[in-house]
Amino acid sequence: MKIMIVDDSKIIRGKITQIIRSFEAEDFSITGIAKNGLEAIDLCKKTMPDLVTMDLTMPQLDGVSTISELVKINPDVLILVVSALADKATALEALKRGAHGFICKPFTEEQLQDALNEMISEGIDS
Amino acid sequence: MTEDQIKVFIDATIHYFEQITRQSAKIGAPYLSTHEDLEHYDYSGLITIAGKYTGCIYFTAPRPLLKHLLVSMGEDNHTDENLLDMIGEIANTLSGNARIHYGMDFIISVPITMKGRLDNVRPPSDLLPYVIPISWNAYRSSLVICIAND
Repeated sequence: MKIMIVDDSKIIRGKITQIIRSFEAEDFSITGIAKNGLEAIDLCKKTMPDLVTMDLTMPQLDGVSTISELVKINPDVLILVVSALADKATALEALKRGAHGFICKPFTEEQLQDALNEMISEGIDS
Repeated sequence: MTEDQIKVFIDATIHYFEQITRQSAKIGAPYLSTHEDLEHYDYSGLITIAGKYTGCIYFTAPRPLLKHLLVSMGEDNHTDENLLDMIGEIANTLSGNARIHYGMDFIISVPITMKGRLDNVRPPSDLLPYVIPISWNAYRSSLVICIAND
């Protein structure tokens, strides 16, 4: 499964990378890392990831707008929002645009792994 | 600001340290300060607020605390770039988490990060900032909140 990580924080990109690499049961390959929405769109066209972890508050193009663009490129892409924005309305808007899951920062390793597992099994079922 | 509004930030701060480090932070009594008397530590991350509210929020912390947090995040590289990234991410997380109370009209900027004093930052002059003192693992830091309903 090809994964793209999108976050404007280098530390968070590193943390998510570390957690994904610690998945032993899954055949994950990180094929793209982007620090804003514009980079994510460009990378999505080039690498066509199966799954994306998406921050929302980013420079140049925010995550909610980016989700809409990624879904246009690949309607089957699974998108997990990983954001500090804790209000329900934002989560619902992200889901409406095409995201499949949402976890709130700060997250633990277990929470991210559970969210990814849940989304992958739902994605496989659908 | 009301007591409930300040509590949202206290809760977010406690949750942050517990999630990242599995160690609780101790929160001191919040107090109203003046712009001149604000404490500044080595690094600061500032978020501006727009929408139904205006103002800013910043988190300011000493270098050793940020280095410790970087280690907790699995990052061994303690360059200024990473320390600034860390403080910006904390400011972003605490501000973003506050939307559970304030809603999506509490629009937060991407973080502006600084090493040293926040001399170039001019919070709304008619608003007095609230300071939430934080102690974690023998380090002191502060979350400063300067917001109003527009």
